Amino acid sequence: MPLPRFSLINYFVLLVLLSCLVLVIVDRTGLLPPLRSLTTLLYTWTILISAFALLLGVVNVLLVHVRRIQNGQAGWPYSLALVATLVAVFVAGLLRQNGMRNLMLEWIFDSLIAPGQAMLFALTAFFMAAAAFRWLRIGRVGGAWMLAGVLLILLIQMPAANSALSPVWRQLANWTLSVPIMAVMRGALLGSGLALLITGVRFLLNRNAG
Amino acid sequence: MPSGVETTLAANLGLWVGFVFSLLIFSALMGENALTRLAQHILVGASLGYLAILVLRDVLQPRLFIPLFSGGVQANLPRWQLWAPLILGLLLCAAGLDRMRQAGKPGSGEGWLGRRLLHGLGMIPVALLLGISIAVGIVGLWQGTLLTQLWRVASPGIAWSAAPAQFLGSILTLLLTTATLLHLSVRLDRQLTNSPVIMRSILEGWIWLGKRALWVAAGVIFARLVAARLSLLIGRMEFFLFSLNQTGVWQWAETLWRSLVQ
Amino acid sequence: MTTIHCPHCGVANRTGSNFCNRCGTDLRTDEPISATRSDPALTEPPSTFDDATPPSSFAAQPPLPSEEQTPPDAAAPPEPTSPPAELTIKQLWLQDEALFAPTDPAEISEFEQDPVSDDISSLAGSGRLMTGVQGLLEPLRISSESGESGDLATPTRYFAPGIELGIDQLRRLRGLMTQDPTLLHAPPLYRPRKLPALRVPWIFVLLGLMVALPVFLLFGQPVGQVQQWPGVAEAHAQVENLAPDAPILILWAYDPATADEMDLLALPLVTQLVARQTKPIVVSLLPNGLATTRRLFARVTGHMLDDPSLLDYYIDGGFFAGGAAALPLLGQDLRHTLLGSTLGTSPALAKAVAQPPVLAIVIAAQAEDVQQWLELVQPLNQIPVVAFTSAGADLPLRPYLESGQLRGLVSGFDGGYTYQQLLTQPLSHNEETIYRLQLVFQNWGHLAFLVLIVLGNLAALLYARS
Repeated sequence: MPLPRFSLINYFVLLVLLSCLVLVIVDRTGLLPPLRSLTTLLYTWTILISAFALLLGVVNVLLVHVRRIQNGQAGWPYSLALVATLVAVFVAGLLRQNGMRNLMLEWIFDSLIAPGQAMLFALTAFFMAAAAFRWLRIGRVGGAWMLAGVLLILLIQMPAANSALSPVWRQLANWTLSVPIMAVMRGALLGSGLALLITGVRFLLNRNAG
Repeated sequence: MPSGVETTLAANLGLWVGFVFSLLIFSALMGENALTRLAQHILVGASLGYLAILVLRDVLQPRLFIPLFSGGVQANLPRWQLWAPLILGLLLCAAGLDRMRQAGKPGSGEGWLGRRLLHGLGMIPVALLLGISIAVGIVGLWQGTLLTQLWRVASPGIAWSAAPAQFLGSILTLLLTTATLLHLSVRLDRQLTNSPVIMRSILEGWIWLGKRALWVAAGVIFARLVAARLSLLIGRMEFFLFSLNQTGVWQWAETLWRSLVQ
Repeated sequence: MTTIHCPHCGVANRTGSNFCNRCGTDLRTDEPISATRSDPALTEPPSTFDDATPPSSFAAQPPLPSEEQTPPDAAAPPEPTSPPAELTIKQLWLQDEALFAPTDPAEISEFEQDPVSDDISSLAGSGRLMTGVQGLLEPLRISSESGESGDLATPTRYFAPGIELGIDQLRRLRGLMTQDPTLLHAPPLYRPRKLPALRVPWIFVLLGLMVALPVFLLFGQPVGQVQQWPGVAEAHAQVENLAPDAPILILWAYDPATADEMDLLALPLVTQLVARQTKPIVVSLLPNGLATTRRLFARVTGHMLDDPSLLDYYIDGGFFAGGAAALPLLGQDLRHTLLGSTLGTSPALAKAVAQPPVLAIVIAAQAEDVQQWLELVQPLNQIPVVAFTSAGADLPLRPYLESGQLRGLVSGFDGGYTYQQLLTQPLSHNEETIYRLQLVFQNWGHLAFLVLIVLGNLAALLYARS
């Protein structure tokens, strides 16, 4: 027997969504002050439910990699390393009494997490260099304009060049940032903000953006 | 309590581990290789393990489990206010775990009534999070950005008595903001086909200006990003230098070099 | 929660979905899925598979369970929530082996040499069920624009051996599957340029050498001076004018990933806060945020990380797991937020939240975090905000500074340098050396970028002439 496409539970879920939506919006407008305690409660729940969601996400990754190991799929040794590290860190945090301030976790943070994350982000400098070589060319569409902006700021923020340049340049850079560039960024902010707002409303009304 | 010797040993070992680990990730520049992939997987594993224990120790334990099961600080809160998120969270986890268990299996969408009910109930906390996120996002965008920035555009402080530089700055701000906004929102080929020629020419010029201004702004952002990323790179280089100094490798290499030279 | 399988790619979607989450196929049909299967191209197995000598990969393939256990029953209406057995059997291209295993040795070698095929086979090798298989064999490569032919040189590569379909047929098939009207012979409207690769070894070596050599050889020159951007002095004044025990709220929105830059900004701020004997409440939306806070306060105060007296200098407000959705809580009920947990057992915290904060400081690597604070928290508590951000986040925040929503803005290494020079409390000699060396190494790094830009333009010029 074919099942109904939209069951009662779906309506209930939709009702929850819309109720939260209306509650928060009405509260933020300040029209009904008594709602404040209710939204405070909702936000508190958000923290707690999000915590469960984060744990679920971790378990999901764990399961995906455990399955990969079980099936002997390509790259399973990497998955093994991931699972072993994840479990080791979790157990280290569970066994010690000092919460997040136990020395074992601090050591893991300083030796693995911090250097690893920092190195990954530092690599982007190399790709930016490649992008500068490939894209900041006068012949490309908009390249000359972009190059003008890049050179103005690169020269002014390079300490050695800054001290060599005339004070007029420094004032020009400050003015550029505070007036024309700020105006452009405001236009971009408004444009993207309006687009986001419209997209959000269309999503709520189940109207496709296309 | 670890002794001073243990602490020093752990610190030295940590330096070595951090140094080698950074090198492994750094090797990604030479192309995708097994060592980089290994380091990335270890990094993800460590970060996720840290996240899980953080959520447990710093969020759920102090905000939910201890107040609910050990009483104490949240005596002023009715119990249901804590039971509700616990139940919703458990529902989310149960439904999610069941979905993960079923993932990839044929006919994963089927199931007995209980399973379908579980999956449906598991959507309630998701709906709650989604509803709050969307509402907060929309209202926040309106109150914190659109309203304030539109107000600034509408009242740019153009006063005829202002100094000429300030007056020109205000005019330029208004001109560029609207030009950018026009460039981002108006499609001349679609929306202004029936407009008068003069109107269309003015708008085209305005949009032309907005487009060029955006390009310059993109260049400025790129240049500032260069400074940001260079700081990160310099920081890592200094870390390498520091690690080498602390671990004694630098001195060892120096000694070796001197012996070779002599 | 029931699911419905996409007739196009087979992926499970939530019942009631309008479009497939994977391939975008319209699922809004009242007809059962079998209606889609009425297309002969899909229901009838290709004749090649009926050959006496099937491809070895198929021979090795065990029969599908559904094929053995549930013979297709044309009379029984299929359940929308279950994948139809016939569909599973006959969509042979939904199997990895069918997709990626050529039979002819010549074809194999050609297949291996084809970069596009290589790309796909690498996806298959990754073991991910969805890659390369769903979406009717990479349908995204099938464009309705005939001009986009670069990826269509060997369209049958994406199909099982024996399924010979031309480009037009592929497009027609995709049109049928998506139920979207597509122009089969439309003129090309937009031909995307091929993006140049960003993995350029000699550039990496150049930049690496220009930054690494001065670092390792500890060059002390040139130093120069930094640009004093608008907003730094205002930020310093906001903090400097605080009363010694004024309650401050800090959103710590950076972690070790960006700490090498952000510490340059946060260090003088924390030094100033410690010197002024303020005790800020620090909260973070990032899992690794508060660990970074601990390290910086330990660095400034000279305490060990596990020293409990470190918490005499700031109040750990905890990790906010809800992200931006939970941020308004800080604006509307800080007391409830922080005292509503065992974190609230700290008497210092109870004292700190007894009165509302007078200043909010957002230390963020991304502009979005500052924006979110200005959108979600400031309209509620109306507290002045000062931002310390990465240099890359500077520009998007300028409009907020100009509109007065931000009272001060400090960004980048140059902002941090300017800020530390404004301090009345001098930094330690080591810290000052770090800032000085930062300027030296920034010079070399910037020089590398300028050289690269010049070289790029020269190359373009020479290329254009040739």
